[in-house]
Amino acid sequence: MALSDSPPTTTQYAITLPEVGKNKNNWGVILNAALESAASNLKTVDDTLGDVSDSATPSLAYQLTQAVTNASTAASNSATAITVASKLTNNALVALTNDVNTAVTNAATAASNASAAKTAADAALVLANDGYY
Amino acid sequence: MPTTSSYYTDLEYPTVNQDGDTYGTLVNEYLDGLLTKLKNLSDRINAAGVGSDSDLSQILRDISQYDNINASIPTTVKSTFGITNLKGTDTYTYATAWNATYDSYLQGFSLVPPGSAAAVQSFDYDLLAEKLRPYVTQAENNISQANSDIAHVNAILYRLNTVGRVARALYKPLDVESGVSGTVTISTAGTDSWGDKERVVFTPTDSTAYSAFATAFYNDFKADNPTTGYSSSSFTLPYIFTEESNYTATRFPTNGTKLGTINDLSNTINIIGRPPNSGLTSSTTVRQNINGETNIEFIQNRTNITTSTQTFTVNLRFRLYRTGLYY
Repeated sequence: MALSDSPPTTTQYAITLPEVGKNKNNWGVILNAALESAASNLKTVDDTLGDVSDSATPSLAYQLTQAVTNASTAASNSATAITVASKLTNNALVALTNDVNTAVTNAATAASNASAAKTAADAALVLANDGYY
Repeated sequence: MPTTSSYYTDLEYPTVNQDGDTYGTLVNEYLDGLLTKLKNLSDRINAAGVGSDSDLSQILRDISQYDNINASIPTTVKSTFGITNLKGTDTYTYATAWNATYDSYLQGFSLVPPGSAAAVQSFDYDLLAEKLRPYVTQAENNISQANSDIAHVNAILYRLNTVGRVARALYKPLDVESGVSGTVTISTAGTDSWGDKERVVFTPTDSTAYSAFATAFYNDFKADNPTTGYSSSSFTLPYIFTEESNYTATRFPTNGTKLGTINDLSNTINIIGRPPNSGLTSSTTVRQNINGETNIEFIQNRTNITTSTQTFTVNLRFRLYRTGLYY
């Protein structure tokens, strides 16, 4: 299919065109048909893209618009999520040092109390044994 | 001359009142070029938005992944940090200092609370762990020591509770004056499975007093088969005896009545037992051999007797351990 064919056809869509030097008294019909066919193909492409407000189908144009909006929202949310996660990581690390300090303090207290209890128990044992082990 | 399209410079259409000889060719070429562009546009639109492999589908998948990540980050954060209710808006703040106890210490290693997402990503978590580890180890050691002390206390409590309730250590001076006076000679006597042995030989000062002592012993403990005299005393004690090990009563009889026997309460008592701790100077506890259950306690200041025979003036007293069944 090419313009050089006889009759000539378009490279795309294979629409028949009037042949130069021929189609006397008929070239207008052929040309009109070619124009209508071209319009039909254009309409097909137009329909594929669709109306930007067509959320029911939804049209490709609508989806593209929504995609842009959603992508923007997602990007914004991601930035927020990362920031929140970072701040909470920061808070958790500081809380970790607080927990370590609490554990160290409590462990020291427990050791001290246990040592005192040991001393008291040893003394109680001596008393229970009437002064002798 | 054909006219160039205002929109596509590679397209030409016939000029009015001109191009009479090339009108058909120009129109055909214009339509062909226009349709070529239309087909190209159609292909690009299809590639952009039609079908699962289109760019739009890929974009939607990417957005979905973003949304999933956004949704999962708060979930993960909540799980990781134990947050029940994540705030709806970002009202969190970055802390700028560690716990006051460690702030200067950690900042000395260039460890500061990360104040940005980038700082969180580049933060040296291993170094933080390394610098906190000594404190955690300190806590662990304290807890270990506490556990050890608590175990020690528990053993004593067990001993006090068990012996006190089930097999109380019954300390019985056999008369008001704490037994009978005499002398005791303690000497080394080899070793057995308990360790070093010692031989204890008791000689009462007064045979009459000793007979009274033995009788009192019999009466007090309701012994069987008594022969309570100075020259030869023997009886069987219907008591269940226990022993102690590391503050814990041991050797509880498993069933029935286990009889402990002291066969000789005459002027000499031969009891082979472990020598007491040489560091004890206020009392001496002598156990019978491994098959015996009697502890005889001599109250006497003494020193290490492992190298020589020593003689002391003593009051002989018995410390018997028995189960609550007979208490």
